[in-house]
Amino acid sequence: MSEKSTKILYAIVFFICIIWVLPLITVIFASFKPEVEIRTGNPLYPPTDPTTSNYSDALYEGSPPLLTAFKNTLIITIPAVLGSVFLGALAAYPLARLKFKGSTTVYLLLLFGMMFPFQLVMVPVFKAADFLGLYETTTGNYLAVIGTHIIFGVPFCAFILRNFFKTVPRSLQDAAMIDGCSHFSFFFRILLPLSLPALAVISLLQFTGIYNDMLWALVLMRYTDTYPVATTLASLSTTAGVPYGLLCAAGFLAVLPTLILFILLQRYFIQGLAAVGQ
Amino acid sequence: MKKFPYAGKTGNGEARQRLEEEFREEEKPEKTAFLFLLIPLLCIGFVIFTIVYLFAASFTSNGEFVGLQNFVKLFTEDPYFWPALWHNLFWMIWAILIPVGLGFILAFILSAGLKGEGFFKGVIYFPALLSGATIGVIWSWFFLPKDNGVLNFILSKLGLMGLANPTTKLWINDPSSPVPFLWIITIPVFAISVMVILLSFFPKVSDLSLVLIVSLFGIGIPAILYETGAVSTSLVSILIASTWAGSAVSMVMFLAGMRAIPKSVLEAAKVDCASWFQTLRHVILPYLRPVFTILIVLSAISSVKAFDLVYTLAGQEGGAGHHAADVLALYIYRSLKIGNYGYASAIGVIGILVAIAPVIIYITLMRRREEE
Repeated sequence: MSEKSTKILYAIVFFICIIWVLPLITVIFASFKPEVEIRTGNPLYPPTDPTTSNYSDALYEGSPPLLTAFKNTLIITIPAVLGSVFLGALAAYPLARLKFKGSTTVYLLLLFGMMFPFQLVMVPVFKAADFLGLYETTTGNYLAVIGTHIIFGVPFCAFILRNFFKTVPRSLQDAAMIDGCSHFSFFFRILLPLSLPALAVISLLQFTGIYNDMLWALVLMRYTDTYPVATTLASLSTTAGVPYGLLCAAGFLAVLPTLILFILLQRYFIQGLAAVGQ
Repeated sequence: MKKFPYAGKTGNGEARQRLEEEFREEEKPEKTAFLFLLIPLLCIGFVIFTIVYLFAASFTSNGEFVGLQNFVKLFTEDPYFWPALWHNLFWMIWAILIPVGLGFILAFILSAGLKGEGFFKGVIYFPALLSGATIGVIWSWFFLPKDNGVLNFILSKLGLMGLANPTTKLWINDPSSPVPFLWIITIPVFAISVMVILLSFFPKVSDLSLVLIVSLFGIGIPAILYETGAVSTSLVSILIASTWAGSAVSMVMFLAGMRAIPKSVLEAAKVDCASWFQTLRHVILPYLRPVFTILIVLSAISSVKAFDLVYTLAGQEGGAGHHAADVLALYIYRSLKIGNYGYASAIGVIGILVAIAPVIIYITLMRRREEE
């Protein structure tokens, strides 16, 4: 490639990157501006008189405050990730390792469960949670959202982990079994510890998915002070009269965990994404 | 589970190997598999149950069987149903063409092997990891209907405010036909997308039919939809926000696909003095056909999932007072909130009918790959 065309390509890529970061950068700028500057100032300029009051408002004053939302996110995400990854691994093992009647059917069901747009069944899920009495109490609200995330997360985890378990050498299993290992002890004692890196990647993807979900909390939670971050953000955004500064600060705070994880673990995110389409 | 008779003993003779072979063929793999699958299958069973329940509930109203009444009402009386369904279908057309085409363009530029490729990829990829709600908050600031909303500010500084709504300054909340600015930035991408997809599936198409098909499907049809107001500034603005987040997915998959093209083929094209467009048309695009296929299917499925972004940007009515960006999932949510369960289920059933074809195609594709 000639030097000139390389320069043109760089210019194009640079321009695209500017467009791509612009929306987020302007939000970050606005989040540090006092309300007067937001209403009248140039949105493309960094704040002239930076303030962190938007952040303290977002964390403590909002309804519900974002600090509570982060706490709720932890309460929901940790059990939901552990549960769905563990159950996914349980399902992945026989699919990757055993020849049994019906394995194709189970595999197809998993694919179906992974791809099915869960938004369409919010009525039955809500009715089920309500039937179990989970809509009325705050604990019930948490349980309903955690349970739903686990149930709808299992197929995806199983699919990814099945592909990983297939790469573990057959001879390892034979060796273990000849020495008297049952399938269960092989699974728990050898395969799971060996798969820790893959389990970490799938947990990361599940975490992102659950952290990003706003629908289930919106549908299944009666009390707004149990809302996780994404749902809180959506409800702030649709409430009239919320100051822009507060909204922008809340938006950036919600981006922050993802941003940190992405900077540290970029390549795992991209690997996981490629897996669905392979 | 039977125990291997020679467990712990040494020896590697023929007899032992035969015993090992026999041992591998287990007596009852079904039983072991069942124990492992018990709880996961309950989860999938619940998902299936919700679908069955949805179909059953769609024939009821307030717990009473009403036959097809919900559907009759949806199809004939409801002023919001057809627009919502149409917006979902347009979302599908958009999702198949724009993020896929844009992702291809980005991947093609990055495949030139520029320095800092990883950084550019990261910048473009990052929004794909954000939640619909966060993307909504970010873009509500970008599209703010004020003089100092980011987009309005840029356009007026460039003297281009005439291409938008100079008086109302609206974006997300504008139910009228797309403003000229949206034509300028989206129609070229439509055209390029139709071209690359067509060439990928039919590399031997003649130049004349290529031009005809691209101008019809890439320019003509989107232009008619824009001109007639079948879609709105509101909907297209929201779709632009979703494209910001979604294009990276196809970009990453195209980059991986391009890396898998054998070097020898590209070398051969170079030796034959093929121009970059000829290489693109006769080598790269046909090679990427499987990537295009899977991306088209995944995008079609994802379009039915549209909810978070519309809710955050346009509120639960999909545009206050005008429903210009209303989608099925949002309508289900609204009906659910007022306790209209049967009606909400009927809308869900329609959503399943829209989604079922791409879901089945995805499953078939994955199964075929499995067998290869």
